[in-house]
Amino acid sequence: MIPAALIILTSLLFPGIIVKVKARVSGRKGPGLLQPILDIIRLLRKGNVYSTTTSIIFQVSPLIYFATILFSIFFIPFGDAAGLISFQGDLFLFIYLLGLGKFFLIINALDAGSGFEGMGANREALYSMLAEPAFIILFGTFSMMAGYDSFYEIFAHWHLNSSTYLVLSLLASYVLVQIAMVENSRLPVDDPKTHLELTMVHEVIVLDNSGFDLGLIQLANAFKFGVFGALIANFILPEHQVLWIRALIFIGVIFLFAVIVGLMESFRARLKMEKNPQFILTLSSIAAIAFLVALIITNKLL
Amino acid sequence: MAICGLPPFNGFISEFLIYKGFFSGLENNIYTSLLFLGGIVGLTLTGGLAVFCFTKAFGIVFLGAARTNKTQQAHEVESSMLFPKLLIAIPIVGIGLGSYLLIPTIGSIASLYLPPGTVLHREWISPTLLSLSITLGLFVILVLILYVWRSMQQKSVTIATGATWGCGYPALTPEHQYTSTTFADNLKNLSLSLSGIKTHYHAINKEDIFPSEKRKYETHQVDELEKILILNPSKLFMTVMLKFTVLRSGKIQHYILYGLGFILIVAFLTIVNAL
Repeated sequence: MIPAALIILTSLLFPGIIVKVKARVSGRKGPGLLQPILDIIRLLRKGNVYSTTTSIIFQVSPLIYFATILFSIFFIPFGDAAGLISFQGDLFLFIYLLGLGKFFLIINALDAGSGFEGMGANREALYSMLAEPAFIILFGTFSMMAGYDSFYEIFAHWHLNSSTYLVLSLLASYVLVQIAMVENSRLPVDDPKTHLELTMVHEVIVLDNSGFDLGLIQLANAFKFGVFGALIANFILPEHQVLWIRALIFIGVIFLFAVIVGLMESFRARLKMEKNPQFILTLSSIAAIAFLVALIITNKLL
Repeated sequence: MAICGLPPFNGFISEFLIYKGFFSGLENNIYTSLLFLGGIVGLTLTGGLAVFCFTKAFGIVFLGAARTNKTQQAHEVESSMLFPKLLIAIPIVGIGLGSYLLIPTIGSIASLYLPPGTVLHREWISPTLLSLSITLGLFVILVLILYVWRSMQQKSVTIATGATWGCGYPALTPEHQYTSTTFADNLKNLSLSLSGIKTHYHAINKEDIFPSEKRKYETHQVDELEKILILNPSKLFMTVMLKFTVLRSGKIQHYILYGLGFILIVAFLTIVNAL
């Protein structure tokens, strides 16, 4: 229960921190930390405007997308304490739940019948397809080292007391940060601030969503950042510490992740659209390096 | 969705078990580790491609505005024709949500093909599939709760309808709809020579100042692998088989003669074999 509550609480502040950091870096005061979440609450109270082209799929898909992200939070452990849901192979269900959410987001865009949204949908489908191997190779590496395929047991057997584990943690954190950027359609693959539909990915997908449905999608995006932040936090949570210290580190890592995202978006330009697949495939290569390092550590390669 | 391996449908259970097998093999020696990693990456890419393919197929066939006048006039069939689809949907969802309950049945089928005396270790997978069934059930309950919340919220607010956002082109016409070729365009750029686009278009030349011909621009994707592995060999086979059409005279006495010839050949070969 603790990790789910911490992820939900920190996720609510995540978009606010990114906006604040970006504002501060560009010399502005920026809105309050709670402003993005207040906007989401406002949207959740509003009515919807539906295109006459859309069907029931357009109405239920934001809800299913939100459900998949919310449910995936329950799988995340808290160091050596299991998440709300934990069983052998929960890792695969976690990945496929995110895939289910993505499936509905894509058909949601296609249901609107706009050429722009179709364009965003195919980009989203391609980038997700390319990012998935990086995630699974990474967790395949940890699973090989731990000897288990559940989040809880992988992280429970993850010890930061050796330099090799530290190197792997750094590699994993880097890949997870970049996957989170791709999965959340942020820089360098997509720019949420862009105002030109032709260059959008995620923003163009949700162009026709409004009111309650848009609120759910934005809340799901915030939660998704929280999920990836929590995965990174689990790599560096110290063992045998009192609960409140570990909770503070957990929250600290997720907040630091939000600050890093804000800084990256302040100083980084988006890639040319045709360069995005190369960038995403590079993440799989880095994850493969982590796998080879793990083979060396476990004396299988050398 | 089931064919994409997405939960909570039967395809996911298959993928789940394959992933579990691959991950358990990672712990062995370097050869199996690398082999199984290749399997994992292959399966992941296949899953991603399936999502890409079926969002495209579903989106182009069922979603958005009608692409042609024919599809504009399409309507749902009678419920008696939908009933068989429901019969297929029940096991798809049933296996997805209740995979645990099927272990004894699958186990008894599997034991028929195993050497006698082989003990099936159902305890290896039973607790996992039980947890998986419960978790997927909880997920369905969460979706239902959210749906009820949404329904209640929608009752208290105004729901309006309007045109799709078109950035200056709000009138949706068939030409504005996303096509199969354009959806797969970015993937095509990655797959290089394995796929190609055939364009059917009579270009306007410089001398056609006032073109009178009505032009149509049409593209379709060519699957080079399908062409090399399936279409070309089957074309060759058909060409060879067409040579035999000379035997198809349509006269019954000829067919009786063929039968007699066949029996004589069999008899002759039997005698040769006996010698």
